[in-house]
Amino acid sequence: MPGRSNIAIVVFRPLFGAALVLAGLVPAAAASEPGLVQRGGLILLFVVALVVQAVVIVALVVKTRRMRRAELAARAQLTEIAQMNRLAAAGELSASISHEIKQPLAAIAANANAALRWLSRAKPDMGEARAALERIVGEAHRASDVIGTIRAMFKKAGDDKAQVDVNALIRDVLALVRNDLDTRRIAVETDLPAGLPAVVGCPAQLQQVFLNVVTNAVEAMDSVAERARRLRVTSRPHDSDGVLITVEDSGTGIDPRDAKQIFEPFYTTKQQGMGLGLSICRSIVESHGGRLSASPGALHGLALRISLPAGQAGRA
Amino acid sequence: MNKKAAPTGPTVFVVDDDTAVREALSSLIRSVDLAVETFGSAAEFLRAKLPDAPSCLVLDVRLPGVSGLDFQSELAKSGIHIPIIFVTGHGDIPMTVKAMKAGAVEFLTKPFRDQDMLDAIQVALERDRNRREQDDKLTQLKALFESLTIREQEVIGLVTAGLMNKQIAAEMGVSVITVKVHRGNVMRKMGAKSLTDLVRMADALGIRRKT
Repeated sequence: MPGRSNIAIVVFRPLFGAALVLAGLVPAAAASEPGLVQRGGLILLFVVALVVQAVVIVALVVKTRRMRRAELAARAQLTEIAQMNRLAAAGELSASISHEIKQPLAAIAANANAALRWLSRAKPDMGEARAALERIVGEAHRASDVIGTIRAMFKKAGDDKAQVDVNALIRDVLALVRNDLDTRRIAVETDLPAGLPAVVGCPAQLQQVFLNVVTNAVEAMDSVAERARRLRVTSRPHDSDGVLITVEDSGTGIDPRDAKQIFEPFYTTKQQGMGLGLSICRSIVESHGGRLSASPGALHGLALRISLPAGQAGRA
Repeated sequence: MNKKAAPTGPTVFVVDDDTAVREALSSLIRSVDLAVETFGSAAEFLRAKLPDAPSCLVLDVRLPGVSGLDFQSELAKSGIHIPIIFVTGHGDIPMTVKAMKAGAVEFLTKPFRDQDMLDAIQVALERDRNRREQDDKLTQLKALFESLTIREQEVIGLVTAGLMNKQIAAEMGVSVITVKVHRGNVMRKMGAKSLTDLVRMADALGIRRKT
């Protein structure tokens, strides 16, 4: 578009110039040679030049306005996409939370009903009733743990910065997905040495990142049947005062050529996924001054590395 | 998992990836004196041997590996007609509609009412009992039909198509008397009380000749 308006300027500017010159010549010409025909021709030329000039000006103004409008629209779209990202993340999170809480609630309700039924039989079965009641206690604690983890996740939501103990954060998230790991028969290996420097950042956001990375690793092993399903999480000191978290799985892995692409928005290998998880994770990690990268791991699958500098205030 | 199901009594199968939910359901179902077998995944359930008794399946929609809805159509495709009761933590309307259209008995959201679950199980078992009875009847009918001679089998097709004895005789190239004898034998061997009864049997067997 700008190319075209340049051409218009290049073409019309000399014309416009000529018109000006001619306009200046008109009185002189009229004084020296007051021929009616000549004078009429000059005036005609002058009028034509004026019209051309007006058209060019209008065209340029319209063009500029259009460009500004397109720019505004593009900016609005970007904001919309960013908002959608946040909404999608929030939606995914709330779906997973409600599932995590409804499971123990369903178990509690069914166990309580079962206990009542065992007790109101013609010959009450105390053993069964007691077993059901004991399961209720266990499930109540499980529900409470889930809520506790979620509360911790949102307590410091937003831009609040805090000292984050990376190892505690990892343990919290692994506890949250424990049930998922058990049912999928995934063996978890953790190597989380004590004495790591604390990272300064938003705990809720970092937890979201870690939860997302672990969930991806877990789902990557869904189709794995011929070898052990292993999830290995390690934390290490990194770059003098930072921390490096590595999450490895024995899943299907990715083509090294796709290693960069997995962080692109809307890139996904899942049937039900928007492909926003890792792109959001990456922007969160980068806003903390860290880096998120992927490479083939030692366990056959993928290794994701999250490096976070210690003590930095961040710019989230 | 726990394979203590009585071989003859009705059995309820539970497939849920959550151990706690599985145990709770198992206890609830056992408390009303029904046999239960529980499984953590669809694959585990497929490896189990289905009993020769009325049974139904309580299936979680959200399963690792394969979704409950996909599993439903998988079962249907492989000719396993076990009635299904779905349970889900977050069921939406399209999901429910899809499941019910594909023949699910009930779609319950977690946490469910025990009476709703037990009622659904009763309905499902009743449905399976009826289906098995129908299947049994058909098997018996097939056995009876197989016991007929070739000639008698031919006659049954023609009689139930509405042909007169004379027409049948002409078609088969035998005498009317012979047709009458065959016809009597067919009615007796098949245990048919009337011609309408015989027509119904022929329909079930799919041997009624189109006229």
